[in-house]
Amino acid sequence: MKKTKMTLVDLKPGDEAVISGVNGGYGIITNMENLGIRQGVGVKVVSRHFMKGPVVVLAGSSRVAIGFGMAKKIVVEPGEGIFPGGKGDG
Amino acid sequence: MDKILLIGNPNAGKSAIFSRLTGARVIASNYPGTTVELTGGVLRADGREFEVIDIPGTYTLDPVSEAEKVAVKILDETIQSDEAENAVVINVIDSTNLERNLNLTFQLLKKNIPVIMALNFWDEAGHTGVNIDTDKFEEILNIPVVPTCGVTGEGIKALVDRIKEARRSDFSFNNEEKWNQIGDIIGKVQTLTRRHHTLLERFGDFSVQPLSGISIAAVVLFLSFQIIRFIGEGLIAYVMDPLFQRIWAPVMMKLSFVMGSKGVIHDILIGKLVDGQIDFGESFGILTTGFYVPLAAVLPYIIAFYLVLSVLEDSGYLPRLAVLVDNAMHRIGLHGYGIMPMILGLGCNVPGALSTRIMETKRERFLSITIMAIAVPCMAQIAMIMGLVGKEGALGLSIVFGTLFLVWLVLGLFMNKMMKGRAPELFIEIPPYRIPYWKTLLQKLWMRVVWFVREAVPWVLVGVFAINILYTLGVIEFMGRLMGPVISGVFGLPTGAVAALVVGFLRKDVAVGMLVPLQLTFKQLVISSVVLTMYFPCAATFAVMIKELGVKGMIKSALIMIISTLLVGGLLNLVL
Repeated sequence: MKKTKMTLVDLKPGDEAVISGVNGGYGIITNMENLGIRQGVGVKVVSRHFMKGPVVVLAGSSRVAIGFGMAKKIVVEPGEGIFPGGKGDG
Repeated sequence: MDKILLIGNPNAGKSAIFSRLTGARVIASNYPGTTVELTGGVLRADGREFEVIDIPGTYTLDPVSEAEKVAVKILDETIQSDEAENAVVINVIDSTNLERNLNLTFQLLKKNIPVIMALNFWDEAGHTGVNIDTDKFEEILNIPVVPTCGVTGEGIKALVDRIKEARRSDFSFNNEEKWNQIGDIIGKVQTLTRRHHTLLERFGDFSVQPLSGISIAAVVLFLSFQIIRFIGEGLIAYVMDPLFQRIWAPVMMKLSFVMGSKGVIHDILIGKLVDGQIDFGESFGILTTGFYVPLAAVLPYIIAFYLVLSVLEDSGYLPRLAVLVDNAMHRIGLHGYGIMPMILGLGCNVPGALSTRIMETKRERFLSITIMAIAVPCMAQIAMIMGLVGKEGALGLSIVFGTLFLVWLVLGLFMNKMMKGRAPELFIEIPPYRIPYWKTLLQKLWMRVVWFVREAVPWVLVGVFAINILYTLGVIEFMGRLMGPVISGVFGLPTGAVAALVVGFLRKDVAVGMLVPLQLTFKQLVISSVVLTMYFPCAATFAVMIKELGVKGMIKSALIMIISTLLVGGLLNLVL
């Protein structure tokens, strides 16, 4: 058995990761793409809200709030140094 | 006339560019079939006259939301119209965020229309260490590229000068490889320098953290409320009241004297004199109370409310509020953005109801419209309640607004449980905090205030006129006897309050005003304020609700209103 994949909701504030895929149909994928959330993009978690609240991430130079259910569909590969002390390091 | 369409992502600063390009005369119009507001103005340049249209922000020409559908529709209509030859698109880009913005640019370049690009927030890009080679950019995209800053006006002249150079680009891309190609272009034109993040940015992230965010939200909402009160009360005490008492009252007294101080026509126009004088609250003539209520008692609060709202909108705070309340809003079947119709509803329920079109599902729209119409009082009504109940101290106001908030919450929870389905997910961009551009702010405030005066004043006059006629014909007395058991039995109100309920169908502010001469007790004041808010929407809101929900949906919604009003009014009567 393969190890369970991590999704955006498994990350903590300050964590960085690269999006490795989105579980969803064409509509969801395009919708996310339009706001800069797509495969290969590095993200950094800005904040998490308790009790299955939204996750706010920094993707590129914009911040996007993603509802918990949607964030669960975003598969990520945790990493470090994706935002090297540069733009929007918050 | 030649046409300029301003197209860009939301939060790309289109409105400030729009304000810079056009003069003071701006027209806001609702695009047919949607709520989405379009603004149009005129630009004169090169001896040509352009009609400039600010199109709702969109991330894509492959539309998802209603607002995006409108943007695409206007663009397509322009391309297909006879004016197509003389139309130009200004693509407004957020320079700090090229990747996402270029996605839209790519799609625009495929359309058969000349395009010129405004690299907006040029100054901010510089501060944040983003440097863009505009010459190379022009070369790659084959359209003019002009750096601009809407707020300071930098680059606007160059933009206007180069409009004539706008052209159809021969740029082509492969949709499959779109993102790679965008990445390539960015690699060629943009260089990043290291830098430290700004104070505003730190604060921006601070305000979407759960704990600090909620504290900040509490402060922001408290301050907003205080500012609205301060401006509203100030305008009433120092501008509107003196105007009415010193200038309008003497004119009306003369008119009253000429008409013999009584008679049917006199009573309809001037109303009843109180101790031989005009009382703008109680006389109830069209020219006295009919003008005083909307212009002197309500308008000051409307101005104050929309000023504060516009600042919250343009600074970028509202999306953060949506994130903070997302969790709580899910319990009542909405996602965080569901707070917007409620906030707008506090100004006036009509735009509140219209704004539910930003929601994805029918379920959300029914839910949000219904709880808003029942439990969210509009600014006109709040102003009157503050005047009436506020005189008795803060306790009454807390009971009235506390009860309405509880009703909103319980009703939301209940409807969410009863209706099939669940709330969709929140998915929004959180724009950086930005200092609002004063001219855009004032334009918006002006349009909203004009809208209020145009929509509200006629209804108030009709309401005052109708109630005078109904009194004269004895209809009110008849209805008082008919509804007496409910009014006094359930709510504990005098039968005289029935007149207020009748007028409440037309305008809620006038309805609250009609309670003044009834000499109600504290308890009765509180109950009548709550009941008047809940029992039915005013005529304008009712019309919008039928349009939005359909007749069947409206009947359902109305039943929920009537039942909850009877329950809550009765309960208050027992408890207080």
